[in-house]
Amino acid sequence: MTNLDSPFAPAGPAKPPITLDRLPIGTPARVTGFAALDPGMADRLVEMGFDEGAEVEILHAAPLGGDPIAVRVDGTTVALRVALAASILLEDMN
Amino acid sequence: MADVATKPAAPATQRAPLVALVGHPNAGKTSLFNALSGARQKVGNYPGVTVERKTAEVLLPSGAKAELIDLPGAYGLVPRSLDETVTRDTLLGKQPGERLPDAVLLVTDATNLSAHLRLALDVLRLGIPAVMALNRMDMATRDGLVLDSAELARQLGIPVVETVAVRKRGIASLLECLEAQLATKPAPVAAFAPAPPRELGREARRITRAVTRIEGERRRATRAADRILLHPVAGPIILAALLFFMFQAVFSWAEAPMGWIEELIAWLQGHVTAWLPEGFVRSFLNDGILAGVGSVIVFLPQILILFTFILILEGSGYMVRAAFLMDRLMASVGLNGSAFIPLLSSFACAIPGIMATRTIPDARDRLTTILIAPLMTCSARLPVYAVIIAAFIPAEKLWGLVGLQGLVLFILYIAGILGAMAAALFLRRTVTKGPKPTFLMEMPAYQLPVLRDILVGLWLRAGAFLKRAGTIIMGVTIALWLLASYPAPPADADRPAVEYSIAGRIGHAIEPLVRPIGFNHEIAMSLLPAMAAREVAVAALATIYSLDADDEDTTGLVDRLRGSWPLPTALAFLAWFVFAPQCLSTLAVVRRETGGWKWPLFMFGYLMVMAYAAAGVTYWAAKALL
Repeated sequence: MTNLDSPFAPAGPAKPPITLDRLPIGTPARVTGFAALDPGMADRLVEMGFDEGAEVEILHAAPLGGDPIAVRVDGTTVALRVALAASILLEDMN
Repeated sequence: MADVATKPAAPATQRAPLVALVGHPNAGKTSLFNALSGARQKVGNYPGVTVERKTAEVLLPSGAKAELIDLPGAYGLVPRSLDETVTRDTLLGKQPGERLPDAVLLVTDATNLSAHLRLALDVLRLGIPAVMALNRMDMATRDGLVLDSAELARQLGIPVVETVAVRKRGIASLLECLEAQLATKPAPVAAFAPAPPRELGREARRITRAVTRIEGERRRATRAADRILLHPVAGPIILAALLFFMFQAVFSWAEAPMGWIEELIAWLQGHVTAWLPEGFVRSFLNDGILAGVGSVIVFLPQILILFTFILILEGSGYMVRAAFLMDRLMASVGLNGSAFIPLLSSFACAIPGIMATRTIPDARDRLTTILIAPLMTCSARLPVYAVIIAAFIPAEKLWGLVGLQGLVLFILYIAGILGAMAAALFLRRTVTKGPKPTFLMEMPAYQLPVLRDILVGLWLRAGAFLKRAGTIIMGVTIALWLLASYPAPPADADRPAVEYSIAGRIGHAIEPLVRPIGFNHEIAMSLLPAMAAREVAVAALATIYSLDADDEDTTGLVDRLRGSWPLPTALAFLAWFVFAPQCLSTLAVVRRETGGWKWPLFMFGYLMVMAYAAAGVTYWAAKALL
């Protein structure tokens, strides 16, 4: 946790969207949508709470390589694999 | 009264109204169902699928009866698992053999309202009269969360009752509201299409904002507990310690009751011997029924202890955490963290393990787990291992530290685990090939497990085990007893009676097949009887060596084996038992759980190939090296 708490640091005119797998532990962010995901899986993620506008924060990463991760999604906690988290697009809380 | 029979069931179809419990898998549905119905539950399967169907009769305040059905947990009405398909189809009146519910009881978690409202809002669109149980109000209060349930009722247009299912709070008013709703007219929609999840989410969040008076700090206690229990270092250590304790308990606490059961069976057999003359009936009762039933019931203490632990782990919310911690390891062989507990249970007995795979959401993950479950060293293998190890492995210490006998036993366990991993990798690439498995689970808040839920669960699961294993084993034992007893030996027989029987002839027939892997005549003869349960191999060998077939005292058999088997044969025999599907009950349970003979036959075949190869390699390697 050294200098990682600012993944949204201005990186040019068009900020590339960050994905949930690259969000540092303990940093809240907001869901903006999904990338490259079959519609069924996207709907399931929405049902689990990963809806546009939902607030997410990684709470824990599993031992041995940090996969899967436990994510706070608004009021609930959801565990999912990093590969799936890579298709969840996020934006800065502000 | 007489004319009732002549009328073809016209007024008699005034059946009790059907009330369906609908909610997320973690809404506290089971607790609420238990609180409403107690242990008067009927558990079965939906026709054609292995989804549990739980119903119970409840008494409404007026004294009228209603039938309550606990629909499988679902996140939405677009099904993504067998469970969710059953729930959707029942609510649409399309589930075969199930009537359309007259009312639904929506179970929601107050601490996580917006997520649960999504499903509720879609269900309400069906037009079935509904009542909402706003459950876990105690946990909401503890978190400082204040909800306006009257406003929620107004927003949704249905009665909302605050409940604490685990403490039976709100049950009476819930039943009152249900009865009132049952009197209203349903307005089923003509053609139902599930609403898009995003729209439902937007509406759910709007309503949640409208009814939340004070936000509160969500799940403070759970967050604190997770910081320790999911800690990258402490988490796995705590899990390992917990599992170690669980296994100690399963094996050591069960020892005494298992002894009592064995004594009881022996006592009954003694009475049969004393009261009946030698002959068919006595042998049938003693060696067929009592021995067979005894060999199942003897595992009941272990299974009850195991189930108690599993129910506590499930009820407390820790089970999902264990799956989370183990997912990485399971993923390395193409499985999923939720396969961990079923596989762990299989170390006591594959049957409860296979029954526990119902919690695995993905059908392919579940099938793979079922297929490898028998490779976990179950406790029925221990008597076999114990006799062979005592006979052939010297009770020495390796480098003055490690007992050689214990080391061999450890290697046998590890061989089973490695075999299972190899099998999972292979199956995942061939017969259970499919989209890359994933892991996506809600982590519920921790809660104290409720004694009522554990007792009800234990009652239902132990009952299911006894019914399934008991009836199967009974049939199998009787069949094997018949095969081993008939035809009777001739009067001038000079060999044990079993040699003349059908089982003996089958043994003779398979002897040439198992010669190449070092098995002798006696082993070939014991393989068929051991299909009833692996430990029967010990008694079968004793019979074949014409010893008194007394399970308790195996010293005679140990001496006899030591004198007549070469060491490579003994090692090959051990390797065989690591892999061989020597248990018809397991195969029968697999048939039930997979709904046909295809998978049990496949399992039998692939495990036989593995066992044959392992025994062969062991035999020839040992012959060359020793």
